[in-house]
Amino acid sequence: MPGELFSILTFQGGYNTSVVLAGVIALGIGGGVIGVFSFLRKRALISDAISHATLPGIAIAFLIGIALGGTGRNLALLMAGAATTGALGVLCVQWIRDYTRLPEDAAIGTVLSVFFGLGIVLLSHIQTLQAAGQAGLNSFLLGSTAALTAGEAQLIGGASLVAILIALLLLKEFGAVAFDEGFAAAQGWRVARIDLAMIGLLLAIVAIGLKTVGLVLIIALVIIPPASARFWTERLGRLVALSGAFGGLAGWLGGSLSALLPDMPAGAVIVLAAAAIFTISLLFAPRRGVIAWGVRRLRMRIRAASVRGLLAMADGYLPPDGLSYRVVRWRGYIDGDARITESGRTAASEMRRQDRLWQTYRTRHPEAALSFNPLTGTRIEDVLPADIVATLEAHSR
Amino acid sequence: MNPPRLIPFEIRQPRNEIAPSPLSIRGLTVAYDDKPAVWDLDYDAPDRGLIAVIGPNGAGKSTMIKAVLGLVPTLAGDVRVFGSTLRQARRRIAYIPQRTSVDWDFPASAEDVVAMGLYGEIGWCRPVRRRHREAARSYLDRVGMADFAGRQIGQLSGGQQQRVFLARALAQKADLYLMDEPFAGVDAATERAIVNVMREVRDAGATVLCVHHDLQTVADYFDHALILNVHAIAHGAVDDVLTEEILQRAYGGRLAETEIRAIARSA
Repeated sequence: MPGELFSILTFQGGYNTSVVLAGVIALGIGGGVIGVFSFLRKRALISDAISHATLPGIAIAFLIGIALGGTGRNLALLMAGAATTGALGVLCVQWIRDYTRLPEDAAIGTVLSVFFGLGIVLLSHIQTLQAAGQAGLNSFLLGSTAALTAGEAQLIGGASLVAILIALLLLKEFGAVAFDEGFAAAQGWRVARIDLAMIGLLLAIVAIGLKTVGLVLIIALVIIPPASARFWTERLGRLVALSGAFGGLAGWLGGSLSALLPDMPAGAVIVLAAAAIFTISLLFAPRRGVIAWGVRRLRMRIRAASVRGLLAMADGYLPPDGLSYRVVRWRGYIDGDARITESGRTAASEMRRQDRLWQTYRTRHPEAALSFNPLTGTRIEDVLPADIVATLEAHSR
Repeated sequence: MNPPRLIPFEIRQPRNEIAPSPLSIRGLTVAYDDKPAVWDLDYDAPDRGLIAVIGPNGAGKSTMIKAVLGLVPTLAGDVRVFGSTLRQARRRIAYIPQRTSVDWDFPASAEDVVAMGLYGEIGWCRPVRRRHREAARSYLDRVGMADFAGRQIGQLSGGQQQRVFLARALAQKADLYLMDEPFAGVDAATERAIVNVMREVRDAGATVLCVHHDLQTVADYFDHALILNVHAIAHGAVDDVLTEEILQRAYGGRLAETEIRAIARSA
């Protein structure tokens, strides 16, 4: 089985599997790139409203397909139906937000559940029809790569690429609107139209991703990659690139696994792959990651404890609490019998001097006092020029 | 001392045929739901002026600026910028929103934000090029922020963030600057930088309209003042409008008598 997984991962799992995998990767990249903008605009949940609102459209398109004498399983027709009610859902959310006093999240929750409920009712009705191909409709809920034909995968890949290109062309405009809407509007930009373009791209990704990932979970494809990428970078361009890469990676790993396990819903497997990337980012990202944050905090606590302990020692007391006692003991400023050592005496009197200088500095320059962190043991000579330190020295006597 | 010009005028001022005012407002009325924010405002900004817009909290100062820019819907009124409609004059206006109106934890450097001031010039769908980045750095230099060009904006202090906004406005090379409380919560160095830049652009021929909260510094920083409390209370040269009577009418009981007297004396 590992060998089989390897051959699928390296595109040696047969023609159809490889084309499907390529389609899923393109979808992942597309979701990652386009998701960045709604993520930064703090409207990530709008894609959940879109995806759930597609269900009635799928059902109606299926019924139309049967009425026209087909099997109802024409993917293009189903996608068109999905996009139509998806767009309708967005319009409802916008309308509720703009013309009532409800906030957008309440509007999204309402629209999402109502449309989804309507879709489920229609779907149950279809199941009583005994129509050909109705079983395949369930794959729109949780996704399936097994049912994807090579032609459909090509359609997904092509549409993703077009959406990515449009998003990259509008990178600068999307970024400016997401950062400072008022500034963008003051320049004469139609912010509503730029938002509409962003939502249009989201709608496209949702529509083409429905069959692969499924409407319940497709939101993950546009939220998790940008959320993961945000841990690693502070620049918009890199965020877009990294988010696309994470989405593609999730599509590649998840798509390969689900090709191996055709009984598993593909959407769930892809989402779990994305979640693994998210977890790694959250933990290990160098600056914004949780571990880095914890280490910074711990270091800060230790430095503050050391300052606290040494200042107490300079006044002839023992460190006032457990942590500061352990820190000065560990640094050898007191010995095992709680006696101040020679190095401890030097360090304590130096800390007393630093504290005095910082206090003088704070009284003389209250406006700059917050620029430094004197409490954490920053040496004043390290941050202020020698002449200022000399002046402080003279004034603090 | 000339008596202050009180609004409404007996006769609404005719438009100057030779050089239209940088900002000419007629009958501007804005309401949020059923609460009036700005009521029937007439104003002509003097050319090359440093104008403070002052008034108590909730007096409609920010709303007026936003209405002038078309950012909030107006009930009535006409706004002309250098004699043209807002649409025609957009590129001649630079706007500095309140610093707290944006989320500074955005993936951008100081330089990226300043480059946004060049987007009008760069054009739609075109990338920011090296010469634009160099220009952005030169504007950062003018506000004393050259060393912070690559810094993520969330890691800057409040004053430094305000200076980034100022540099972005400079990059727009405007003739009319609309600033919404640029002095709110900034350090002394930033306050000096803002004042210097305002004077520079005025001396280069621009007009600055600035919502300002600190009555103590109005006379030091500005030439003109527009005193607003939903209605326009008065406007004119700072020395003429910062009088006890006008301040009393604008602020009423919200300023202590002694404070009003001190400000009026200092002007």
